[in-house]
Amino acid sequence: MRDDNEGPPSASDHLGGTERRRARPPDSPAGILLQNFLVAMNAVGEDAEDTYRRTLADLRKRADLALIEIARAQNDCDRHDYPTRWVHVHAAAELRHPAALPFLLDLALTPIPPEEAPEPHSYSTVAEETILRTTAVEGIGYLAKERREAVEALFECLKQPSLSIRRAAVQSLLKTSRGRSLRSRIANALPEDQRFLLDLKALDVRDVPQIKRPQRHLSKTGTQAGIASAPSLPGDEPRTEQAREPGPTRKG
Amino acid sequence: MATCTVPTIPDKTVTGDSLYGPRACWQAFIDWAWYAHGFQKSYWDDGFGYEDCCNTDLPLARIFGAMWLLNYSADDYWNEDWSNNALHWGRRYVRDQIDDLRSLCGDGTAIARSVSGHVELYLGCFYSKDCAGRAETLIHESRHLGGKPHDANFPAGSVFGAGKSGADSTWGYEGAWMFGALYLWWFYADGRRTTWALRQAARQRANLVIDNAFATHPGFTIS
Repeated sequence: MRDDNEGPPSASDHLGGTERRRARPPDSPAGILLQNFLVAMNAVGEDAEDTYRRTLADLRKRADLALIEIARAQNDCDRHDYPTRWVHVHAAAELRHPAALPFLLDLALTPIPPEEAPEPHSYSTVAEETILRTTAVEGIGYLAKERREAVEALFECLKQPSLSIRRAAVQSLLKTSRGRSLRSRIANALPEDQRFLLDLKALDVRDVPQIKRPQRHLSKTGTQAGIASAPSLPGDEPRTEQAREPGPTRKG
Repeated sequence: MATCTVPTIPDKTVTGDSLYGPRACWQAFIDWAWYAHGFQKSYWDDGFGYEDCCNTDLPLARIFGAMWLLNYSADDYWNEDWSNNALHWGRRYVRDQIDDLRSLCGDGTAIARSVSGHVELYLGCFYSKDCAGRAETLIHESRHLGGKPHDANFPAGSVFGAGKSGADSTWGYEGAWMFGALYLWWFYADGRRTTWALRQAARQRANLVIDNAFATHPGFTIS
Protein backbone atom coordinates (compact mmCIF):
# COMPACT_ATOMS: atom_id res chain seq x y z
CA MET A 1 0.00 0.00 0.00
CA ARG A 2 2.31 2.69 -1.18
CA ASP A 3 1.57 6.22 -2.12
CA ASP A 4 4.88 7.16 -3.63
CA ASN A 5 5.39 8.81 -6.96
CA GLU A 6 6.88 6.01 -8.98
CA GLY A 7 5.57 6.00 -12.53
CA PRO A 8 2.66 3.70 -13.26
CA PRO A 9 3.15 0.65 -15.47
CA SER A 10 2.95 1.49 -19.13
CA ALA A 11 -0.34 -0.19 -19.99
CA SER A 12 -2.88 -2.65 -18.76
CA ASP A 13 -1.45 -6.07 -18.03
CA HIS A 14 -2.34 -9.57 -19.12
CA LEU A 15 -3.46 -12.18 -16.61
CA GLY A 16 -3.51 -15.81 -17.61
CA GLY A 17 -3.90 -19.28 -16.21
CA THR A 18 -5.66 -20.44 -13.12
CA GLU A 19 -4.14 -22.86 -10.70
CA ARG A 20 -6.71 -24.57 -8.54
CA ARG A 21 -5.84 -26.36 -5.37
CA ARG A 22 -8.52 -28.52 -3.85
CA ALA A 23 -8.58 -29.58 -0.26
CA ARG A 24 -8.61 -33.28 0.45
CA PRO A 25 -12.13 -34.30 1.51
CA PRO A 26 -12.37 -35.53 5.09
CA ASP A 27 -12.30 -39.30 5.48
CA SER A 28 -12.68 -39.72 9.24
CA PRO A 29 -15.45 -38.88 11.72
CA ALA A 30 -13.32 -36.17 13.32
CA GLY A 31 -12.44 -34.82 9.89
CA ILE A 32 -16.13 -34.52 9.08
CA LEU A 33 -16.77 -32.73 12.39
CA LEU A 34 -13.96 -30.31 11.58
CA GLN A 35 -15.34 -29.76 8.10
CA ASN A 36 -18.79 -29.08 9.55
CA PHE A 37 -17.30 -26.54 11.94
CA LEU A 38 -15.39 -24.76 9.18
CA VAL A 39 -18.55 -24.58 7.08
CA ALA A 40 -20.45 -23.14 10.06
CA MET A 41 -17.72 -20.55 10.63
CA ASN A 42 -18.35 -19.34 7.13
CA ALA A 43 -22.13 -19.46 7.15
CA VAL A 44 -24.60 -16.60 7.24
CA GLY A 45 -28.25 -16.38 8.13
CA GLU A 46 -30.43 -16.28 11.19
CA ASP A 47 -29.38 -19.72 12.39
CA ALA A 48 -25.67 -19.30 11.59
CA GLU A 49 -24.62 -18.58 15.15
CA ASP A 50 -26.62 -21.49 16.53
CA THR A 51 -25.09 -23.77 13.93
CA TYR A 52 -21.64 -22.47 14.80
CA ARG A 53 -22.17 -23.21 18.50
CA ARG A 54 -23.55 -26.66 17.78
CA THR A 55 -20.76 -27.70 15.43
CA LEU A 56 -18.17 -26.34 17.87
CA ALA A 57 -19.72 -28.35 20.70
CA ASP A 58 -19.61 -31.45 18.50
CA LEU A 59 -15.98 -30.80 17.67
CA ARG A 60 -15.05 -30.28 21.31
CA LYS A 61 -16.44 -33.71 22.15
CA ARG A 62 -13.75 -35.21 19.91
CA ALA A 63 -11.10 -32.58 20.58
CA ASP A 64 -8.11 -34.90 20.65
CA LEU A 65 -9.00 -36.43 17.30
CA ALA A 66 -9.97 -33.04 15.91
CA LEU A 67 -6.47 -31.82 16.70
CA ILE A 68 -5.01 -34.57 14.57
CA GLU A 69 -7.26 -33.50 11.70
CA ILE A 70 -6.33 -29.86 12.17
CA ALA A 71 -2.64 -30.72 12.12
CA ARG A 72 -3.13 -32.80 9.01
CA ALA A 73 -5.06 -30.04 7.28
CA GLN A 74 -2.32 -27.57 8.15
CA ASN A 75 0.24 -29.92 6.72
CA ASP A 76 -1.70 -30.25 3.46
CA CYS A 77 -2.16 -26.53 3.15
CA ASP A 78 -0.06 -24.34 0.88
CA ARG A 79 2.32 -22.44 3.13
CA HIS A 80 1.23 -19.15 1.62
CA ASP A 81 -2.49 -19.88 1.88
CA TYR A 82 -2.77 -17.80 5.02
CA PRO A 83 -6.58 -17.49 5.12
CA THR A 84 -6.97 -21.27 5.20
CA ARG A 85 -4.14 -21.77 7.66
CA TRP A 86 -5.74 -19.16 9.90
CA VAL A 87 -9.12 -20.92 10.11
CA HIS A 88 -7.36 -24.10 11.22
CA VAL A 89 -5.50 -22.26 13.97
CA HIS A 90 -8.71 -20.52 14.99
CA ALA A 91 -10.45 -23.90 15.18
CA ALA A 92 -7.70 -25.28 17.43
CA ALA A 93 -7.95 -22.23 19.66
CA GLU A 94 -11.72 -22.51 19.90
CA LEU A 95 -11.51 -26.10 21.09
CA ARG A 96 -10.41 -24.73 24.47
CA HIS A 97 -9.15 -28.19 25.25
CA PRO A 98 -5.85 -29.18 26.87
CA ALA A 99 -5.11 -31.39 23.89
CA ALA A 100 -4.73 -28.22 21.83
CA LEU A 101 -1.99 -26.75 23.99
CA PRO A 102 1.00 -28.50 22.36
CA PHE A 103 -0.23 -27.58 18.87
CA LEU A 104 -0.87 -23.95 19.78
CA LEU A 105 2.35 -23.53 21.72
CA ASP A 106 4.42 -25.14 19.01
CA LEU A 107 3.04 -22.68 16.49
CA ALA A 108 3.45 -19.68 18.78
CA LEU A 109 7.09 -20.56 19.48
CA THR A 110 8.03 -21.47 15.91
CA PRO A 111 10.32 -18.70 14.68
CA ILE A 112 8.69 -16.54 12.06
CA PRO A 113 10.36 -17.19 8.70
CA PRO A 114 12.24 -14.27 7.17
CA GLU A 115 10.22 -11.74 5.22
CA GLU A 116 9.60 -12.90 1.67
CA ALA A 117 7.92 -9.79 0.32
CA PRO A 118 10.21 -7.21 -1.24
CA GLU A 119 8.02 -4.38 0.02
CA PRO A 120 6.53 -5.46 3.36
CA HIS A 121 4.42 -2.33 3.55
CA SER A 122 2.42 -3.77 0.66
CA TYR A 123 2.22 -7.33 1.80
CA SER A 124 4.17 -9.01 4.52
CA THR A 125 4.62 -12.71 5.06
CA VAL A 126 5.87 -11.80 8.53
CA ALA A 127 2.56 -10.05 9.21
CA GLU A 128 0.57 -13.08 8.03
CA GLU A 129 2.70 -15.47 10.09
CA THR A 130 2.26 -13.17 13.08
CA ILE A 131 -1.53 -13.29 12.82
CA LEU A 132 -1.40 -17.09 12.95
CA ARG A 133 0.67 -16.88 16.12
CA THR A 134 -1.41 -14.23 17.91
CA THR A 135 -4.47 -16.40 17.26
CA ALA A 136 -2.61 -19.36 18.76
CA VAL A 137 -1.58 -17.30 21.79
CA GLU A 138 -5.18 -16.29 22.39
CA GLY A 139 -6.08 -19.98 22.27
CA ILE A 140 -3.49 -20.65 24.96
CA GLY A 141 -5.00 -17.76 26.87
CA TYR A 142 -8.37 -19.49 27.04
CA LEU A 143 -6.66 -22.50 28.62
CA ALA A 144 -4.62 -20.35 31.00
CA LYS A 145 -7.77 -19.38 32.87
CA GLU A 146 -7.82 -22.88 34.32
CA ARG A 147 -4.47 -24.51 33.68
CA ARG A 148 -1.13 -23.58 35.15
CA GLU A 149 0.87 -25.12 32.31
CA ALA A 150 -0.90 -22.79 29.92
CA VAL A 151 0.13 -19.83 32.08
CA GLU A 152 3.72 -20.98 31.83
CA ALA A 153 3.27 -21.40 28.07
CA LEU A 154 2.24 -17.77 27.84
CA PHE A 155 5.42 -16.77 29.63
CA GLU A 156 7.31 -18.75 27.01
CA CYS A 157 5.51 -16.67 24.37
CA LEU A 158 6.80 -13.50 26.02
CA LYS A 159 10.29 -14.57 24.97
CA GLN A 160 9.36 -14.22 21.31
CA PRO A 161 10.76 -11.09 19.67
CA SER A 162 7.44 -10.15 18.04
CA LEU A 163 5.65 -7.22 19.64
CA SER A 164 2.26 -8.60 18.61
CA ILE A 165 2.93 -12.04 20.08
CA ARG A 166 4.03 -10.40 23.30
CA ARG A 167 0.98 -8.16 23.30
CA ALA A 168 -1.34 -11.14 22.88
CA ALA A 169 0.46 -13.04 25.63
CA VAL A 170 0.35 -10.09 28.05
CA GLN A 171 -3.34 -9.57 27.42
CA SER A 172 -4.04 -13.26 27.96
CA LEU A 173 -2.04 -13.37 31.19
CA LEU A 174 -3.79 -10.32 32.57
CA LYS A 175 -7.16 -11.93 31.88
CA THR A 176 -6.41 -14.90 34.12
CA SER A 177 -7.62 -14.88 37.71
CA ARG A 178 -4.02 -14.33 38.84
CA GLY A 179 -3.46 -11.56 36.33
CA ARG A 180 -2.86 -8.74 38.80
CA SER A 181 -0.39 -10.74 40.83
CA LEU A 182 1.52 -11.67 37.68
CA ARG A 183 2.21 -8.09 36.63
CA SER A 184 5.70 -7.82 38.07
CA ARG A 185 6.72 -11.18 36.62
CA ILE A 186 5.36 -10.11 33.23
CA ALA A 187 7.23 -6.83 33.46
CA ASN A 188 10.47 -8.64 34.20
CA ALA A 189 9.93 -10.86 31.18
CA LEU A 190 9.50 -7.92 28.81
CA PRO A 191 12.18 -5.66 27.37
CA GLU A 192 12.05 -2.33 29.14
CA ASP A 193 10.82 -0.46 26.07
CA GLN A 194 7.88 -2.83 25.71
CA ARG A 195 6.55 -2.75 29.24
CA PHE A 196 3.90 -0.37 28.00
CA LEU A 197 2.12 -3.52 26.85
CA LEU A 198 1.04 -3.99 30.45
CA ASP A 199 -0.91 -0.77 30.30
CA LEU A 200 -2.73 -1.26 27.00
CA LYS A 201 -6.47 -0.96 27.35
CA ALA A 202 -8.63 -3.64 25.78
CA LEU A 203 -11.44 -1.54 24.35
CA ASP A 204 -14.65 -1.71 22.42
CA VAL A 205 -14.52 0.16 19.12
CA ARG A 206 -17.14 2.57 20.43
CA ASP A 207 -14.65 3.77 23.05
CA VAL A 208 -11.71 4.68 20.82
CA PRO A 209 -11.22 8.00 19.04
CA GLN A 210 -13.28 8.06 15.86
CA ILE A 211 -12.90 10.26 12.80
CA LYS A 212 -14.90 13.41 13.24
CA ARG A 213 -16.44 14.68 10.02
CA PRO A 214 -14.66 12.28 7.67
CA GLN A 215 -15.80 14.36 4.74
CA ARG A 216 -13.18 16.96 5.62
CA HIS A 217 -10.63 14.36 4.56
CA LEU A 218 -11.93 14.21 1.00
CA SER A 219 -9.84 15.56 -1.84
CA LYS A 220 -11.24 18.44 -3.86
CA THR A 221 -12.31 15.95 -6.51
CA GLY A 222 -13.86 13.77 -3.84
CA THR A 223 -15.98 16.57 -2.43
CA GLN A 224 -17.42 17.15 -5.87
CA ALA A 225 -18.02 13.51 -6.74
CA GLY A 226 -21.68 13.25 -5.78
CA ILE A 227 -21.96 9.60 -6.73
CA ALA A 228 -25.24 7.95 -5.75
CA SER A 229 -25.06 5.23 -3.11
CA ALA A 230 -25.26 1.54 -3.96
CA PRO A 231 -28.64 0.18 -5.01
CA SER A 232 -30.90 -1.11 -2.29
CA LEU A 233 -30.74 -4.83 -1.77
CA PRO A 234 -33.42 -6.87 -3.52
CA GLY A 235 -36.48 -6.86 -1.31
CA ASP A 236 -35.56 -3.59 0.41
CA GLU A 237 -37.24 -0.31 -0.32
CA PRO A 238 -35.50 1.40 -3.30
CA ARG A 239 -33.64 4.45 -2.00
CA THR A 240 -31.17 5.40 -4.71
CA GLU A 241 -31.08 6.29 -8.36
CA GLN A 242 -29.71 3.95 -11.04
CA ALA A 243 -26.12 4.02 -12.23
CA ARG A 244 -25.63 6.12 -15.33
CA GLU A 245 -23.33 3.79 -17.26
CA PRO A 246 -23.59 0.04 -17.68
CA GLY A 247 -20.75 -2.16 -16.49
CA PRO A 248 -19.72 -5.58 -17.75
CA THR A 249 -22.56 -8.00 -18.25
CA ARG A 250 -23.01 -11.03 -16.06
CA LYS A 251 -23.47 -14.30 -17.84
CA GLY A 252 -26.64 -16.33 -17.56
CA MET B 1 2.51 -4.39 -20.40
CA ALA B 2 3.29 -7.22 -18.02
CA THR B 3 2.07 -10.78 -18.15
CA CYS B 4 1.25 -12.74 -15.02
CA THR B 5 -0.69 -15.80 -13.98
CA VAL B 6 -3.39 -16.34 -11.40
CA PRO B 7 -1.64 -17.66 -8.29
CA THR B 8 -2.92 -20.46 -6.10
CA ILE B 9 -6.42 -19.44 -5.08
CA PRO B 10 -7.11 -19.79 -1.36
CA ASP B 11 -10.26 -21.59 -0.25
CA LYS B 12 -13.04 -19.26 -1.36
CA THR B 13 -15.23 -20.21 1.56
CA VAL B 14 -12.57 -18.95 3.91
CA THR B 15 -11.87 -15.74 2.01
CA GLY B 16 -15.56 -14.94 1.66
CA ASP B 17 -15.58 -15.16 -2.12
CA SER B 18 -18.07 -18.03 -2.08
CA LEU B 19 -20.41 -15.79 -0.12
CA TYR B 20 -19.82 -12.35 -1.59
CA GLY B 21 -19.13 -13.39 -5.19
CA PRO B 22 -22.70 -14.56 -5.91
CA ARG B 23 -24.12 -11.59 -4.00
CA ALA B 24 -22.18 -9.15 -6.16
CA CYS B 25 -23.17 -10.98 -9.34
CA TRP B 26 -26.21 -8.77 -9.64
CA GLN B 27 -26.42 -6.57 -12.70
CA ALA B 28 -27.75 -3.48 -10.93
CA PHE B 29 -24.87 -3.66 -8.45
CA ILE B 30 -22.30 -4.35 -11.14
CA ASP B 31 -23.47 -1.33 -13.14
CA TRP B 32 -23.41 0.88 -10.07
CA ALA B 33 -19.99 -0.31 -8.83
CA TRP B 34 -18.47 0.03 -12.30
CA TYR B 35 -19.60 3.60 -12.61
CA ALA B 36 -19.12 4.68 -9.00
CA HIS B 37 -15.46 3.64 -8.79
CA GLY B 38 -14.32 4.61 -12.26
CA PHE B 39 -13.46 1.20 -13.60
CA GLN B 40 -12.12 1.25 -17.14
CA LYS B 41 -12.45 -1.76 -19.41
CA SER B 42 -8.86 -1.44 -20.61
CA TYR B 43 -7.59 -2.15 -17.11
CA TRP B 44 -9.96 -5.00 -16.32
CA ASP B 45 -9.99 -7.08 -19.49
CA ASP B 46 -7.28 -9.35 -20.83
CA GLY B 47 -7.78 -11.95 -18.13
CA PHE B 48 -8.65 -9.70 -15.21
CA GLY B 49 -12.34 -10.50 -15.46
CA TYR B 50 -14.22 -8.03 -17.65
CA GLU B 51 -15.36 -10.81 -19.95
CA ASP B 52 -16.42 -13.02 -17.00
CA CYS B 53 -17.30 -10.58 -14.23
CA CYS B 54 -18.92 -13.13 -11.90
CA ASN B 55 -16.03 -15.58 -11.97
CA THR B 56 -14.46 -15.37 -8.53
CA ASP B 57 -11.27 -16.92 -9.81
CA LEU B 58 -10.61 -13.55 -11.44
CA PRO B 59 -9.76 -10.14 -9.98
CA LEU B 60 -12.86 -8.22 -11.08
CA ALA B 61 -15.36 -10.48 -9.33
CA ARG B 62 -13.11 -10.59 -6.27
CA ILE B 63 -13.11 -6.81 -5.97
CA PHE B 64 -16.86 -6.63 -6.69
CA GLY B 65 -17.32 -9.00 -3.74
CA ALA B 66 -15.25 -6.72 -1.51
CA MET B 67 -17.31 -3.75 -2.68
CA TRP B 68 -20.51 -5.59 -1.79
CA LEU B 69 -19.10 -6.14 1.69
CA LEU B 70 -18.09 -2.49 1.91
CA ASN B 71 -21.55 -1.31 0.94
CA TYR B 72 -23.89 -3.63 2.78
CA SER B 73 -22.24 -4.59 6.07
CA ALA B 74 -24.01 -2.01 8.20
CA ASP B 75 -27.38 -3.15 9.49
CA ASP B 76 -29.00 0.02 8.10
CA TYR B 77 -26.65 0.23 5.15
CA TRP B 78 -28.60 3.02 3.50
CA ASN B 79 -27.73 5.33 6.38
CA GLU B 80 -24.31 6.60 5.32
CA ASP B 81 -24.30 9.81 7.27
CA TRP B 82 -20.80 11.10 7.94
CA SER B 83 -21.64 11.40 11.65
CA ASN B 84 -22.21 7.66 11.87
CA ASN B 85 -19.44 5.07 12.24
CA ALA B 86 -16.96 3.84 9.61
CA LEU B 87 -19.14 0.89 8.74
CA HIS B 88 -21.63 3.41 7.39
CA TRP B 89 -19.51 6.15 5.84
CA GLY B 90 -16.63 3.97 4.62
CA ARG B 91 -18.43 3.07 1.41
CA ARG B 92 -19.24 6.71 0.75
CA TYR B 93 -15.67 7.83 1.35
CA VAL B 94 -14.34 5.20 -1.05
CA ARG B 95 -16.68 5.94 -3.91
CA ASP B 96 -16.21 9.70 -3.52
CA GLN B 97 -12.43 9.32 -3.57
CA ILE B 98 -11.80 6.62 -6.15
CA ASP B 99 -12.76 7.62 -9.66
CA ASP B 100 -10.15 5.58 -11.50
CA LEU B 101 -9.56 2.02 -10.30
CA ARG B 102 -7.12 -0.19 -12.15
CA SER B 103 -5.91 -3.77 -11.89
CA LEU B 104 -2.34 -4.73 -12.71
CA CYS B 105 -0.02 -7.64 -12.12
CA GLY B 106 2.40 -6.07 -9.66
CA ASP B 107 5.33 -8.10 -8.45
CA GLY B 108 3.26 -10.97 -7.09
CA THR B 109 3.11 -9.72 -3.52
CA ALA B 110 2.24 -6.04 -3.99
CA ILE B 111 -1.22 -5.09 -2.79
CA ALA B 112 -2.08 -1.61 -4.01
CA ARG B 113 -0.97 1.96 -4.35
CA SER B 114 -2.51 5.31 -4.98
CA VAL B 115 -0.69 7.44 -7.48
CA SER B 116 -1.51 10.44 -9.63
CA GLY B 117 -5.17 10.42 -8.69
CA HIS B 118 -5.89 6.78 -9.35
CA VAL B 119 -5.67 3.52 -7.42
CA GLU B 120 -3.90 0.46 -8.71
CA LEU B 121 -4.73 -2.97 -7.30
CA TYR B 122 -2.31 -5.82 -7.76
CA LEU B 123 -2.55 -9.59 -7.58
CA GLY B 124 -1.67 -9.59 -3.89
CA CYS B 125 -4.87 -7.70 -3.14
CA PHE B 126 -7.07 -10.14 -5.04
CA TYR B 127 -5.47 -13.39 -3.90
CA SER B 128 -3.77 -12.89 -0.54
CA LYS B 129 -6.52 -10.94 1.21
CA ASP B 130 -10.01 -11.97 2.19
CA CYS B 131 -13.01 -9.86 1.21
CA ALA B 132 -12.82 -7.68 4.31
CA GLY B 133 -9.11 -7.19 3.78
CA ARG B 134 -9.74 -6.00 0.22
CA ALA B 135 -12.35 -3.56 1.50
CA GLU B 136 -9.77 -2.30 3.99
CA THR B 137 -7.34 -1.78 1.11
CA LEU B 138 -9.90 0.38 -0.69
CA ILE B 139 -10.34 2.48 2.46
CA HIS B 140 -6.57 2.75 3.01
CA GLU B 141 -5.86 3.86 -0.54
CA SER B 142 -8.81 6.26 -0.52
CA ARG B 143 -7.28 7.97 2.48
CA HIS B 144 -4.09 8.48 0.52
CA LEU B 145 -6.09 10.03 -2.30
CA GLY B 146 -7.56 12.28 0.34
CA GLY B 147 -4.13 13.80 0.75
CA LYS B 148 -2.67 11.96 3.71
CA PRO B 149 0.69 10.28 3.10
CA HIS B 150 2.40 8.17 5.73
CA ASP B 151 4.49 10.39 7.98
CA ALA B 152 6.66 8.15 10.12
CA ASN B 153 8.88 5.10 10.26
CA PHE B 154 7.69 1.76 11.55
CA PRO B 155 8.51 1.22 15.22
CA ALA B 156 10.97 -1.25 16.68
CA GLY B 157 9.67 -4.78 16.31
CA SER B 158 7.17 -3.87 13.61
CA VAL B 159 6.25 -6.67 11.23
CA PHE B 160 6.27 -4.11 8.43
CA GLY B 161 9.99 -3.46 8.85
CA ALA B 162 11.32 -1.55 11.84
CA GLY B 163 12.77 1.79 10.90
CA LYS B 164 11.38 1.78 7.37
CA SER B 165 9.12 4.55 6.16
CA GLY B 166 5.42 3.90 5.66
CA ALA B 167 4.00 4.14 9.17
CA ASP B 168 1.62 6.73 10.55
CA SER B 169 2.92 8.71 13.49
CA THR B 170 -0.11 8.30 15.74
CA TRP B 171 -3.73 7.16 15.75
CA GLY B 172 -4.71 10.81 15.98
CA TYR B 173 -2.92 11.57 12.73
CA GLU B 174 -5.99 10.01 11.08
CA GLY B 175 -3.99 8.48 8.31
CA ALA B 176 -4.54 5.50 6.05
CA TRP B 177 -3.61 2.91 8.68
CA MET B 178 -6.07 4.38 11.17
CA PHE B 179 -8.85 4.47 8.56
CA GLY B 180 -8.23 0.83 7.64
CA ALA B 181 -7.93 -0.43 11.21
CA LEU B 182 -11.01 1.46 12.33
CA TYR B 183 -13.03 0.01 9.47
CA LEU B 184 -11.90 -3.54 10.27
CA TRP B 185 -12.65 -2.99 13.95
CA TRP B 186 -16.18 -1.85 13.22
CA PHE B 187 -16.63 -4.74 10.82
CA TYR B 188 -15.58 -7.12 13.58
CA ALA B 189 -17.78 -5.44 16.18
CA ASP B 190 -20.91 -4.77 14.21
CA GLY B 191 -20.61 -6.19 10.69
CA ARG B 192 -23.80 -7.75 9.36
CA ARG B 193 -24.65 -10.15 6.54
CA THR B 194 -21.26 -11.75 7.05
CA THR B 195 -19.63 -14.70 8.74
CA TRP B 196 -18.09 -15.39 12.10
CA ALA B 197 -14.81 -16.30 10.44
CA LEU B 198 -14.47 -13.06 8.49
CA ARG B 199 -15.27 -10.97 11.55
CA GLN B 200 -12.71 -12.80 13.68
CA ALA B 201 -10.09 -12.50 10.94
CA ALA B 202 -10.82 -8.77 10.74
CA ARG B 203 -10.19 -8.47 14.47
CA GLN B 204 -6.83 -10.17 14.20
CA ARG B 205 -5.77 -8.01 11.26
CA ALA B 206 -6.89 -4.78 12.92
CA ASN B 207 -4.92 -5.67 16.06
CA LEU B 208 -1.87 -6.32 13.90
CA VAL B 209 -2.16 -2.87 12.35
CA ILE B 210 -2.66 -1.23 15.74
CA ASP B 211 0.45 -2.95 17.09
CA ASN B 212 2.75 -2.43 14.14
CA ALA B 213 1.75 0.46 11.87
CA PHE B 214 2.00 3.44 14.21
CA ALA B 215 5.27 4.96 15.33
CA THR B 216 3.64 5.54 18.71
CA HIS B 217 1.43 2.68 19.83
CA PRO B 218 -2.18 3.93 20.20
CA GLY B 219 -2.32 2.47 23.72
CA PHE B 220 -5.25 0.15 23.19
CA THR B 221 -6.08 -3.20 21.74
CA ILE B 222 -9.28 -4.83 20.57
CA SER B 223 -11.11 -6.55 23.39
